[in-house]
Amino acid sequence: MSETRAVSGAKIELSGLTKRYPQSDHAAVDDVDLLIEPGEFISFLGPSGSGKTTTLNMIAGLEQPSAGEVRFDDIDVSHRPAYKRNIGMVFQNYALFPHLTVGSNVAFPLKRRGVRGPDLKEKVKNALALVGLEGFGDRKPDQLSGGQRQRVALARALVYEPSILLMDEPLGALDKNLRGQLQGEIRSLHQRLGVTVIFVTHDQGEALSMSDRIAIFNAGKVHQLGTGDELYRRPKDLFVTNFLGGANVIPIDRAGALLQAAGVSPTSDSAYAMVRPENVAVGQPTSQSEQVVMPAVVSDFINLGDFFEVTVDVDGLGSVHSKMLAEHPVPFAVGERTSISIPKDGVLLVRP
Amino acid sequence: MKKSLTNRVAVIWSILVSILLIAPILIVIPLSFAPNRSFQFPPSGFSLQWYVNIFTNRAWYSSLTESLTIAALVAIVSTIVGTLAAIALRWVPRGSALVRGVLLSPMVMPGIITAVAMYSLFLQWRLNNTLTGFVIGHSVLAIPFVIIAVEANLHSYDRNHNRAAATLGSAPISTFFRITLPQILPGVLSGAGFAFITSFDEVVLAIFIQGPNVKTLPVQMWNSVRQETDPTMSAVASLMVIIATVIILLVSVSRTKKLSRREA
Amino acid sequence: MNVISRVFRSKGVIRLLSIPALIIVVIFFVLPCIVLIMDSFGWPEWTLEGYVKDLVDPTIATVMLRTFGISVGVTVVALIISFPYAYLMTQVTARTRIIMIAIVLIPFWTSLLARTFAWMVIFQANGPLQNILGFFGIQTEPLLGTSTGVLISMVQVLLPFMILPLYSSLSGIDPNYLRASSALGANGVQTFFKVYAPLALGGVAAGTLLVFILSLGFYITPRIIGSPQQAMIGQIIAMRVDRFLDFGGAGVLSMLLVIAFLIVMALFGCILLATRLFRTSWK
Repeated sequence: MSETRAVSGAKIELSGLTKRYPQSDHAAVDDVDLLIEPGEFISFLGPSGSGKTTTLNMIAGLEQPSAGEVRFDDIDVSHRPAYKRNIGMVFQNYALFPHLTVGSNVAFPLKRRGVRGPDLKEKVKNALALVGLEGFGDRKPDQLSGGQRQRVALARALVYEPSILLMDEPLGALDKNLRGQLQGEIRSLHQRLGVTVIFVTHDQGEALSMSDRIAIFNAGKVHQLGTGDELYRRPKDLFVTNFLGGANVIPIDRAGALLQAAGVSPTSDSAYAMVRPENVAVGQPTSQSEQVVMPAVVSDFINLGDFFEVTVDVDGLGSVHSKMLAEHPVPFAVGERTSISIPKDGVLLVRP
Repeated sequence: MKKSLTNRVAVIWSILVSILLIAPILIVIPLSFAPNRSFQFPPSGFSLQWYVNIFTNRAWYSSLTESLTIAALVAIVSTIVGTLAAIALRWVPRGSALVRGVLLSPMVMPGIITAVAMYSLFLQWRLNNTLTGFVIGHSVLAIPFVIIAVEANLHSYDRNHNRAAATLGSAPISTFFRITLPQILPGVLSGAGFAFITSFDEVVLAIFIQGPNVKTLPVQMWNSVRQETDPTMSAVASLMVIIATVIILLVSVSRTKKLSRREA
Repeated sequence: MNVISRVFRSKGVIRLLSIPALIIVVIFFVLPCIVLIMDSFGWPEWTLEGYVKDLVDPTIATVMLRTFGISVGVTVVALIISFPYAYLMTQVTARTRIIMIAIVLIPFWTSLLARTFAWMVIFQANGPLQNILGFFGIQTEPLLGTSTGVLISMVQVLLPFMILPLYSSLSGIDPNYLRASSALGANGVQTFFKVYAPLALGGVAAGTLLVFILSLGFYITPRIIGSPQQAMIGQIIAMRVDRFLDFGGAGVLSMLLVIAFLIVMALFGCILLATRLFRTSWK
């Protein structure tokens, strides 16, 4: 954590949080327990229908839990309506009010809180400045670009200094460049304001690059919780493995040689051996120690400029993908016999 | 060219249709300047006495003011209950088919049947010949139009705005008046307009539930057409034609202007 | 306060917003209709006497036939008149189209009584129509008080209800289909019947149905333009209540009208369905 961050965020605690819909057998959110620290930036990551947005909506008060509790700073808010929770929320489609100007949109939550006069003007101005939209106050939302709209939505959600900011796939409607830029801005706003942020996304890269911690959702439950690094390096099972980054997943009965060479002995519940593509180096090994070296044939090769994506056939393992830093000259050709080397600690066991 | 022949026939045909649509209703205008008590066409002179008569003759003038009062009340009542109903139908669509069917049913029932049915119960409830009876009866007929007009606007309304407003600290009623209503206002206003016209123009129910205390303008026109040769009828009809024409032309001109602006 | 706001957010409460409208419509429309139906069965005695009496009454049969005859006539004539107009609306520039729409909307928004009154003046003895025809040497009886007069005036009054749905469906037809059809070698007539007409069917159905329903229950225009001797069903219903306060009898005729209308609707539905099936199988 950065020292300059003035922590003003709230602690959020979910216990036994459950949401059932009358027409469905499965709970959309199933007994979720989660403790989010003040000022933390946490991402809810998962496929659609995994319960991440429903959980967010229950935190916001937009949906009523069927069971369980939501607590902000140890106060039970489960039955408090959204408009009394004092949270900020940003939606994927911005949800700017089209009949109001940008300034009035930002002023809306302040007016609901009884802010009037010069104080109101000042706060609106500051909030717009915060997101780099000084002087846009008199425009209508439909005169703005997508990125500008999302900035207005951000300003509107932050202008009353809530201790919690909820973001529901806020960048999903933007193109890739703009997304990267706004990711950085949101991250730095979080650093400056210290607000507790819950960021819902189905984009793993976004979650990895922005969050302090990530909660991976699957089938209405928090499947695994941890820092991006933890999740990436120690995925609990196949689901998390596949969801976070690419992976070479090899059924345990075919991976005997690899495991033996790496000195890993399978436990009773492990079903797969897993190697991340960036841990697979193609070409002659530089050092033999702490590496598993196996003969391979290059079957496909894509040059991405800064990276190579190489597919090789390895006896016993089948196709293995590698992602490695580009080298010049290219040290192999398609069809060439070569070898791969994998650091021993890059070979992991994964449960089904 | 075959196509141009087809089009030429269609053009001539359409001009004839335009004449059929417009000419008959224009005929009442010269008639309204008749110098004597007759529907003779063309009239034998010129006078404005029948226009004056609308405002000086007690029967005509009071029926006009009563019609305006009733239509205004109907517009208010049916716009409020119709808008609320449209929101319910649109936002909680599950299981609302029956409710929608019931609310829209007055629109498809032949007017004469509605009139007879209402008249029968209004007799027992002593609602005939009362302002209340007229407002209720006409509201029943106007509610479907309000619902349709408002629903059309709600269709493009994003309910995320309600959720956003809630997270921003706005209570539901405040959200309705500050966020929802301003956005669906065109539908609400056109619903109110429809409701007003529905009531102001309504004849069939009116001629049954009217009485010495309450006579709307259409009732007075109806009596006038059937009982006597009173060119005041021509004057009223002319005014209605002119008002409708002016409004439609204004709308058309504004649409044409919008068109030019888009082209420019 | 918490309880109120909780209730207010639930879907149940939004659903309740339709209650004021429902109360008005149920008490003042549905209930009267039910009472009228009960009256038609002689409530509180429950008898079919009224139905039997009217079904064997040749006068009622004549009126029913006339009502359906005039309604079919009005609908067919209106459809024939409207189609080229609606078609042309889709072909002209946006500016001309605004004018053409205005021409339809002006009578649409003019009071029904004012328009019917105009026809009364036109059809009266020594009225404009007789004068014009006389000028060309054609001597006719005045049309006021005849079914022909009723038919003509009803067509004019109901024309907008045919043109507007027709136009809205024709304007949705992609001109590329027609171009494709002629490019594939179909001549104009073939293109019209095989490509254009089927695509226009939705609008034709809507307009036809609308005009037919409205015609069946028409009361004001036949009452003013027609004569009691050539009454439509609406006039008989009104007369029974007006003159004899015979709500049972009015209820019987109303039921018969609605049932007859439902049968026509069902037939109409079958025809549409059959056409669809035929077209699908033909493809």
